Amino acid sequence: MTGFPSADDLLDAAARRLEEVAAEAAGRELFLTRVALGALDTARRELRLGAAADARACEVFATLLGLDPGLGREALEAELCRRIRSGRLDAAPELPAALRAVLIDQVEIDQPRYSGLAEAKARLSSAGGSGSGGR
Amino acid sequence: METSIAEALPRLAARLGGGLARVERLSGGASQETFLLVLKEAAGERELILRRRPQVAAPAAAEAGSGPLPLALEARLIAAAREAGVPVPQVVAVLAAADGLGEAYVMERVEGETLGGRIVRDPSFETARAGLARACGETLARIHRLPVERFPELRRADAGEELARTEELYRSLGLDRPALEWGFRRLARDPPSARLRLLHGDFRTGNLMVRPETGLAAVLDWELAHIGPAAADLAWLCVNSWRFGRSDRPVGGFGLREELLEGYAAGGGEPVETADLLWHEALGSLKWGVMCLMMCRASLAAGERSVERAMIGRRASEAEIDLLNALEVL
Repeated sequence: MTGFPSADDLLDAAARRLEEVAAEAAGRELFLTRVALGALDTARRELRLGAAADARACEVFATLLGLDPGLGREALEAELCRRIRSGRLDAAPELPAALRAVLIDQVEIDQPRYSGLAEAKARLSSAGGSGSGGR
Repeated sequence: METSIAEALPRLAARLGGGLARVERLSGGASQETFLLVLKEAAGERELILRRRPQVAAPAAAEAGSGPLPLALEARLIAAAREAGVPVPQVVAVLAAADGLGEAYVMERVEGETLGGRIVRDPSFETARAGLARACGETLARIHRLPVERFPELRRADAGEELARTEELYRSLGLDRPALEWGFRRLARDPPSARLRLLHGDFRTGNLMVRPETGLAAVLDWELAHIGPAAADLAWLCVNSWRFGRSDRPVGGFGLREELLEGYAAGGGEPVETADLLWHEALGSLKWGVMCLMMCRASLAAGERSVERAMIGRRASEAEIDLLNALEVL
């Protein structure tokens, strides 16, 4: 059983209230209210997209590292960072595409209209969908 | 013991030759404040900007390399830049302890637009945009010709040292960011070597004041000035995070790299290899990513509950995606 209304509904209602505040605000007050609306939007996207993004990150990193995706994102990222630092992945051709695929998911949550996102997607598809990054 | 601002400002106004007509706080952080002072003089009203830091920085923090630039040093830099023909506000007075405002200086107010979104997209700035990349190049050439010997207190870092410093800051956060790790690894392979110059340190859209008719009106925010390779300043202006949506115009969201480099050469700047520019652009995104994480972490640790500071942590992923894109063309 999940909460009724959903967390998304609650956040949506809070956003509506902030929109009303924004309509009457100016200057710094308006700026901060918009930032707060952005924070709510980001949280809602994470609720909606976060689980799938985490699962994909686990798959991508587990494949790259030759480990079990069940280890979870935190552990896999920690191990990935260790291996990058050690130099073991210096010549790994699939590393940039793997990082890019995971970052695309992250920026879709954090800032979906960001200009760098479109460029990254274009690079990913022009890489021909090879290796773990291409989907 | 410091006199309250309410007492100190009218005294300051009198010292500057006028009566205090109005005071407006323009911005304020924990460590720094900016005020608009409107002075009434015989000839009319005069608008001045007061920058102050309430407490004098602790000696340890003022050590070159850590802590913010002392405001007196900032004022000296701006004055030197002005002498060299760089468009900057005129410094009117550097204050002393006796003025009762802590570390502070006063400068003339300059009019113009600083909002990146407007400079980059507003139709009324079309003409200004056309020559802006070149003007930035020429301006940076003048800044880079300032004699570093006159500012021995500034921190120095060549490309490799700046990379290492950024890595130290990242490691202090204790976060696992694979894209940043890859950036550190990849950029450490071949940091370019170049002569070290006096750098503005934060030359980007957002810190440039532009007027629709006359273009570049003033270069602001000198607090990150340091000594390093010229390409660092040129590349920072090209970092995608402050192209304000106009990714197709790599220089500040308003121009092309060729225009920037032409202006730089025309202004007497040394030749800069495109490869070096691209390396520094990648470092720029790497640094910005780390800065976002640091600002967020500091805010959370201080229990500020600032939505602005919390959200800036989420901008690190933009910087990381830009970093990957930038590394691809190295």
